Amino acid sequence: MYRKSLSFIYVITLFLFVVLLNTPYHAGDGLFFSVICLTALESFLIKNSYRSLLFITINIILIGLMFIVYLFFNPYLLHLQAQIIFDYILFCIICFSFWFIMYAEFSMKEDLVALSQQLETLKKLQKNTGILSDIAFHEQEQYILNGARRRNESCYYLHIHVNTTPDDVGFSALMATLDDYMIRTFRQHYDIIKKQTPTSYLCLLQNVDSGTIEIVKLRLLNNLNEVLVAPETFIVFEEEEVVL
Amino acid sequence: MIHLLFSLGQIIFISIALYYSFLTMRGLSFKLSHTDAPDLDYPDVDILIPAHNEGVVMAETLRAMTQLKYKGRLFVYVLNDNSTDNTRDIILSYAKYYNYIFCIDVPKGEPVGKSRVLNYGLSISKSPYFVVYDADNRPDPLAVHRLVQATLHHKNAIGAVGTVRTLNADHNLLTRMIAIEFQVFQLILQAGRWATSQVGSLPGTNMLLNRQKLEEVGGYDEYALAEDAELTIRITAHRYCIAIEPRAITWEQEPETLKVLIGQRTRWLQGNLYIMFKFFKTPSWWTPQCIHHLLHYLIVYVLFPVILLVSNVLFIAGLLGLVTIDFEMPFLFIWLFSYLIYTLQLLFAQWYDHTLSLKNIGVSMIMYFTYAQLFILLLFKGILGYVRMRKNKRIHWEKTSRVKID
Repeated sequence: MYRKSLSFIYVITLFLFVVLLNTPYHAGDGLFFSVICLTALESFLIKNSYRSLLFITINIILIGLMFIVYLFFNPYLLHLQAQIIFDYILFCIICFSFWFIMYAEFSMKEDLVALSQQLETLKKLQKNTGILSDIAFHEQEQYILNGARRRNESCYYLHIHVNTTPDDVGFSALMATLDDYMIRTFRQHYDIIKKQTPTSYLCLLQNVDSGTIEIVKLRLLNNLNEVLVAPETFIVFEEEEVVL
Repeated sequence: MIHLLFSLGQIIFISIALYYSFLTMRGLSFKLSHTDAPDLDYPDVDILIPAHNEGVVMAETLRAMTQLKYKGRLFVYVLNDNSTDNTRDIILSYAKYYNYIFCIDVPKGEPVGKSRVLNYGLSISKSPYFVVYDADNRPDPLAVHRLVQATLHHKNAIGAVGTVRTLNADHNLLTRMIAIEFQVFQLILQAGRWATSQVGSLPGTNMLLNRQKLEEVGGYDEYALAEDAELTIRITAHRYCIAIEPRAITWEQEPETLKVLIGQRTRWLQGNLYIMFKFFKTPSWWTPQCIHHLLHYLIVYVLFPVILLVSNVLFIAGLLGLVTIDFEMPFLFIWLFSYLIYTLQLLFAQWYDHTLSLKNIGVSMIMYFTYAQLFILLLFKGILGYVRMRKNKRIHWEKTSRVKID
């Protein structure tokens, strides 16, 4: 139904334009105004910014071509060229303005949705790394420790220090790589990690013993060996059993 | 007779404008309907980064390389071309940590330029595929992954090229215009032509190539100043295609001053003139697909500035009463129509990249009167430079200077 009515308006627009071309120019002013209004209305009715822009462009090109052909075959009207140019520019500006208002509204809606999603993520994680923020870490730490206490399990804090300084040229890249490998190495939804300082991490591992901690350290170093040169030379571990 | 010639000229001109509008639409519909190719076995890939005095940008470039997500093995070779600044130190700082980043010192040699450095890079690396990035590039993490997917998805593809976006578009009016030009180039000449006739061209960066097939077509021509355009024609002559992957994005910085831009573009234009002359001397290039490329180079780099110049001269001479045309034709309306088509193409490109704003619309509207006019100057400078190059039998590689961008 919607498509049919849109096509109907479009056919009327083109019909009016053809009639306009066959009307003495000044007498056709009202008709030209109607063509402008109808084209703008149609672009507004199409609820998709791409299709709407496409529609306006096709109209601008078609109407421009019609004017060119018309002036080619009616050269005695060339003295009206300035008037026709003015009308054509007016037509383009009005159509495009209508489209831009609609596009701006679409874009704002899209931005709003994207920002809301980003905000949700940022509340829990540091940037997009998967490393928890301080607040999120402490919240989850309490849940984990309370649960472990009830189940009589042991938990460990694992401090990971990276021997580098923020002044080092490759510092930010190295830390981003470490963030990535931390997330991959530790058990998702079970162990939690936060950044303690710019060059150190704190991990809380639940239901582990000293033997498991050694396995975790080894696994992290093995994973890092895929991309880093001798990570064991600049990464230092320090574990601490949590007193429950 | 003159009347007939003018009419024919106008018809050809309007047809070209409409053809480019058609490519714009095809490019947009291709980009909008583009989806991920199915997962596959990911081969080893070498990344080659030619670098000559790139200390200002190198750290950020290498940082971006470490963030690439690729399921196969990656090897990053930074080809240090006799840098005299701290480029080498920066590369080594990264190589110290990362076992897949290598600093390769390229020996001195002639002719100077990117092609020779890349050929050297190919001689010391060995993966079946390689990607080229300029030293100021910051590819998106999935760029290489997508380039590999696109290449392997098309049986006849020698490789794939992605999209180049401008890092410093907001810096000034000039960079904003360059950014818009890049967007429209990628929409019309890359996506549009690919969607219409499976033709793509190498942009010199953010491109993946199959090493074996490249060796088959003869590697890089070390005397070509626009090595990417020259290689594109040779690849096409060997009946390979270059796939377009619009979502493999890299960000690079563009010249912030007119002087640097003119230097860079003059080199490109000299390179394109070299290709045009080489075309007439190389019968193996006389295929429909190669002619397609050549026509585009001619239209963009020669015909467009010449038409602009003629239009400007006629307009000014007409205003001063130096020229009178004694037949009636709607010249002004055709000019306006062409201007609108040109501006609409710019707006379409920005719409796709989500960079359309009131400010950018304003800039697009003045681009014909400012940025486009620059092409006239470039054509003259390019021709002069090319003649000088032929006379001296020595190529001059105008290096694009970089700036620090956070």
